Amino acid sequence: MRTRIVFWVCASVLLVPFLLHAQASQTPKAKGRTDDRPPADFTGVWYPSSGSTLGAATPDNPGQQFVWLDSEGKPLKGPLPLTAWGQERLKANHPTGPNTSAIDSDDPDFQCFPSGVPRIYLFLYPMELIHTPGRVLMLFEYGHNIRQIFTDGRGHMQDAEPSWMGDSIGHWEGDTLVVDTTGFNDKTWLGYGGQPHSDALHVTERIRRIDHDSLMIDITLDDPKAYAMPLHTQKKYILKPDWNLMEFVCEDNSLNFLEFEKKTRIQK
Amino acid sequence: MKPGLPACFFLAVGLMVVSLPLSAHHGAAEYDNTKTISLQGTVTALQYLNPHALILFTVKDDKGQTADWTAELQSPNLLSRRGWSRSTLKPGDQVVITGHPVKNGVKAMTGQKVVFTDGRETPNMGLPSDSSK
Repeated sequence: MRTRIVFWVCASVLLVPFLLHAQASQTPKAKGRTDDRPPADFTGVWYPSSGSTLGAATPDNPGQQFVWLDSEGKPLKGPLPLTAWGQERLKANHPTGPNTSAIDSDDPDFQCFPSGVPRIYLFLYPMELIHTPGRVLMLFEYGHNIRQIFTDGRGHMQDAEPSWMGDSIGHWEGDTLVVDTTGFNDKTWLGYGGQPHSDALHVTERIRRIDHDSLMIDITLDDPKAYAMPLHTQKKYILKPDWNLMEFVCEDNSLNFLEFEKKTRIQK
Repeated sequence: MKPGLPACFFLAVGLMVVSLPLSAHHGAAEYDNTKTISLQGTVTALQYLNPHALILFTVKDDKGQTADWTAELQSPNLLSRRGWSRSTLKPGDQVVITGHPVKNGVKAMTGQKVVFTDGRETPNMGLPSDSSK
């Protein structure tokens, strides 16, 4: 008799987790999380490709400018198709140039502000992608910027405060992660040239693996307040399986560096 | 360059070595990329801090006068991935630094290449390759 009681007590204790699990699996999934397996996994540390992408621009700054394409994929010639509003903003910005030092520029990057999207892709630092249920995380070494791409089916936040890196939601089309980002402020630039954007900026990214070690990001910007037509560009990243992200604090050397920048500023 | 030679200042106008970008925070507008100089000097300090590492060094001219110079390198993160560390250069090290001078004439330059005067070389400062290996 005693043996039988011990058996049933043990059996009950062992069965409880299974019963709880069965009940949980019948409960509707909590909003904001899914356990669906994504059709592709980009987990890893990725580094911008040096020259094999549209990013390469100048001998001294490879990969640090975007080449903008029209809707047919041809590089845009001449000035960017800015609206009157966009032209005013471009005129008001003071990027670095042959006669303008970083210290005399109002480039938000030189003030250590977050880089925005897509400018964060221009920096020659790695990013790490992490898949987690309902989200894909982008961790950028440069400036420790992060992006959360919600893949749980939610829409964009309503009445959200405009942000530096935007509000991103994503869905899968085959093996391609399609990321839709809005909710930007208008404080970041698209590049070192002071190219502006407005708070109406809408970025669509199509992220896919073109081979095991290569990630291609097709980027479309739609900002009717600043640009007369959508702009397209592309960025390629290379998998670096042996790398880890490192700390990068933009202000780390700021006092010494400020003195250095003052010393080396271009005389007008 | 042999050790023990008097400190030298080589200026090569228009000579293009492989240009490394001073990426991110700072840009390269302050430097005259059409000129390349090589300086032999004594390391005072390696400031291994983001956004860019700085080499402080002194250069002695042919008359024995010393001058303080600064060479700006890539970020420590990029340098570390190429094999550099905070102890790659120590105070007292004799080095030859090659790079582009600043436009305004002060004693500062980029550090494109750094070698010890005894022939040892510091790790390459080039950008990571497109290889996953």
